Amino acid sequence: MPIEFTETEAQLIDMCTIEEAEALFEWLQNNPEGGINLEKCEHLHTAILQVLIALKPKVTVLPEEKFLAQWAFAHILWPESSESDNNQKKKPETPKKATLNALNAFRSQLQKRKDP
Amino acid sequence: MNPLLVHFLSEARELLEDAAKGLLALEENPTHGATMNQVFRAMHTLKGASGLFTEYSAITKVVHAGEDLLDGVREGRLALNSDMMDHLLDASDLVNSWLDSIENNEKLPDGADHEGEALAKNLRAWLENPDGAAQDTQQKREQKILQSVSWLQQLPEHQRIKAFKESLESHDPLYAIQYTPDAQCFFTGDDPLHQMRQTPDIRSLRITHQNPWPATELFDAYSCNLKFQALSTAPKEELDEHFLYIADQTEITEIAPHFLILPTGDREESEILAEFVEDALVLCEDQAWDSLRKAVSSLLKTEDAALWHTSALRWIDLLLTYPTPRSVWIETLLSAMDKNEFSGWPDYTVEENGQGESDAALEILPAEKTMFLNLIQAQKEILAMPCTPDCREGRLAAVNQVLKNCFTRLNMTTQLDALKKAIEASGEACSLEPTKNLLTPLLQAETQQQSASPATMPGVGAALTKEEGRRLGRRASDREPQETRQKTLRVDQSRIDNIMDLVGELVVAKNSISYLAQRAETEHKNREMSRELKDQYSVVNRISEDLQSAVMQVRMLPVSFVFQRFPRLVRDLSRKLGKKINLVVQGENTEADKNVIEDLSDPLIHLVRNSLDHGIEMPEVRRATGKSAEGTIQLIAYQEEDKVAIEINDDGKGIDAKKVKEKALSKGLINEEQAEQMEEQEAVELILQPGFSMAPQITDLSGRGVGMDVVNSAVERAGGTLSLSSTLGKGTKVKLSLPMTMAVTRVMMIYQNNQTYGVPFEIVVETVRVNRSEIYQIKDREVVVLRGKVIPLFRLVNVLGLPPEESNQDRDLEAILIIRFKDEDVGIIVDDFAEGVDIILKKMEGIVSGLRHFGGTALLGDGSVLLVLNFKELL
Repeated sequence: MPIEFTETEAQLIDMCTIEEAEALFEWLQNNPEGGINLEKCEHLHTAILQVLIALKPKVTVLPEEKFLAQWAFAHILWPESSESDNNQKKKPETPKKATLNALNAFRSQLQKRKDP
Repeated sequence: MNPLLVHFLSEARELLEDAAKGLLALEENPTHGATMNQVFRAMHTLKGASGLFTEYSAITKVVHAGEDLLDGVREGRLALNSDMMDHLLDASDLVNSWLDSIENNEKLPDGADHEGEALAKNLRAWLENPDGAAQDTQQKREQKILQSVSWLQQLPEHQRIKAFKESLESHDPLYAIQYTPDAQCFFTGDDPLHQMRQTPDIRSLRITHQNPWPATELFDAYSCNLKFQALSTAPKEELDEHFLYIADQTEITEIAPHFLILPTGDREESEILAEFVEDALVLCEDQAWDSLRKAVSSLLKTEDAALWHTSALRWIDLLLTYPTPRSVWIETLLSAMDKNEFSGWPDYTVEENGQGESDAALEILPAEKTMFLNLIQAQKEILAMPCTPDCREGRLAAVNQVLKNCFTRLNMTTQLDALKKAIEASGEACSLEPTKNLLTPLLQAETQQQSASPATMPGVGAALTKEEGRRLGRRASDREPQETRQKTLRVDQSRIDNIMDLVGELVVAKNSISYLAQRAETEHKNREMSRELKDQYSVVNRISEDLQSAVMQVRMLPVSFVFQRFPRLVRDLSRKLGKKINLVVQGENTEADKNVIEDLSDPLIHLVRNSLDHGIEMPEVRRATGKSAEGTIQLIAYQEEDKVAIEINDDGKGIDAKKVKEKALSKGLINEEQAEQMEEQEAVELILQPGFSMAPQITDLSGRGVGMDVVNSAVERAGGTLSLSSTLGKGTKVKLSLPMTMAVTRVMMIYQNNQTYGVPFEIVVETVRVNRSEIYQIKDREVVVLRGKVIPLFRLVNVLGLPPEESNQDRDLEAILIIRFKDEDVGIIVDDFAEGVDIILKKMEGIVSGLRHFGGTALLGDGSVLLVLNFKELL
């Protein structure tokens, strides 16, 4: 079985074909809290992906396979995490003040340029 | 004629045909770049070729004007419309008629120069004054592309940044791919995710849903609701090939790298920023990139990364990392930050951020408008359908929803109010009428407006100009499409005919060897010689048969040769008649002998015209009878055993058998008794009788008194059959069946009065010898009972009007040739049977051409002439 179901987790292994989609869907309906383990998943059929995207279950382990990790699961299921990884959210305590400081520094520089 | 001119003529015709075909395809799909290029190339080549002949400069002038116009369209300066198309087609027709004239007397018709100049002027007028059709500027086209790929901004920013960098560095073109799989695609074995996995050089991927997810209990795991959006740097051909089988579900758009510069995030007003932008713009002007970069990076450290303007700053920062930053992009971004939205590429970011004014602010494309009108039209049709009181309410609600959305998008506020009232009225009156009545005048007004001002065709993302192509760093290899050198020979038809004749003579000469073998044995008593001759005969026979089929192959033409003129015919006629017609052509690659194809063209044109004129009803009538306003004419060609079958089907009003009977009665073609006994199918076939025309009034197209009977006899003359079936109200189906080749015919020889005659093999069912006592006399007709079936008999001697021969009177056994005649078995009593032979059938020519009783003549191996009987005329 490419999908192994336990009570708390569904583990997707190797190639998951369209035949598993219905089973996964039923399992998720019966176990709405169940987690999805994608670690050993090599490829999953679009129908299965669709079930995951539609029901948004908790994913416990991300796939190791390159395409799935890099593209398919990069931002659909966890848009926040991928964004934050790249944007390095930093919340300065007083953003306005910091901005002002930066701007002032910039302005003085500009002034220097104008009258050397 | 000068051989160069001969070549020019045939080439020019081909080019014109290509151009006309392409133009028609463009009318359907004005944004198809490849077709555009094909038409343009055809015109261009023709211009060059005609330039060789200074005496025909009129051609060059017209074609040049056409080429310029097409160039304008191709570069997006002009939008193609129906009137422009008419002019271009006129030009192609005019040049075609000139070519005829050149072919006949090597000069252009009188006044050609003048005529050509007028047309060229017409064509050029489009360029100077595109007649209201807004000129598509570079910027506008770019905007259209951007709108069509507005989903780009939903791709993760880091992926976009990466793709942008790569594209700038490698100069590879970028393609935006949107793949919307069909809901049923899983059932056809598609795995869209796998498709995307295999996509070459993928740079970004976003997977989203097509429609909002339904409630869990309604969720169907096997109906695909996902949509894939991606970027790729692979060459276009590779992508096209990859998505070949799902081309209808994918949109591949070439985009410039800077299209990816799309700030995203939450918007926030900030006065400080306004000041920064002001200063930054100055720096930008001075190209003081280092200072600007420092400022930007210090700002980036402090600003909230999730904000829209921070995103813009990130892009500016990225652009500044290049040694010579593009100031245009940076300025655009800066001024966008100032206004808190893109001014250069306005509004398409609005939707996603939910901050925009309203959807109404978006420009309504003409194509979009047509789509909405179609939607409204569909609602009207829905309302017109009969329905039970139970479903009325639901239908009203559905229609209301759709119309409301349409009107909102189209900014038709007055209509919105009217709709609300009409819906209420409909509810009170328990009838759909009030709502329907609202739509009728609205639609009429819109269609008038549309026809008055030729709609601009959307040119989204299709034709990139040369300049743009270069800018996008298009690979050198695909700038000049590699044309594989066609390995074809252009040969004059008379040469092939000549070979055909020679092959015919060879077949006859070959047959004489077997006579020689016979003589060697009987007259010279040399069996050895006879056997050797027979051996040699079989070798020559094999080679001549191969040669024959090889020549046949050369003469084979696809039926598209005739079919290709129909799109134009249907287009012109349907415009003239005000009917909407969809022509479906299938099996145009089916091949048949050139002569057959040529014989076919006139009957086919007649049949298609008939369908157009009498078959398909006017749109209003069609709608009233519950059919779609657009009629369909199908032209289907296929091979059926050794015949070519062509069907012309329409879904028009069909043939009224009753009316046909009445008409036939009044014309005296049948009597009342016959009329009563006649079945519907038989009655319908009455229109094939000579002198029958159904058209109530004579129109420009058909109904000139010559009707289906002419078609029928033309088909029969070509050795084919025509069958007709029709269902009243549903449509008519005409099927032509023709021999694939007419050159070599196999006939069976028979003896009568010491003469040999040929009977085409395809009608021979069997040969029997029957005892004279088994032939019965019923009234004046002889019959024979064969396997429990009564078969009428004819004596060939009587049929041909030959003198009866004494010697035959006392024979016990009669030789009967059973043939298939009009779907029935008929027996022909002959003197004796002989062998079957392959012959080259020559039509009766000269003073005997009127003798329809014979299908033709052929030369036999011993030099005698064989007459081939034509039973259709004889019996």
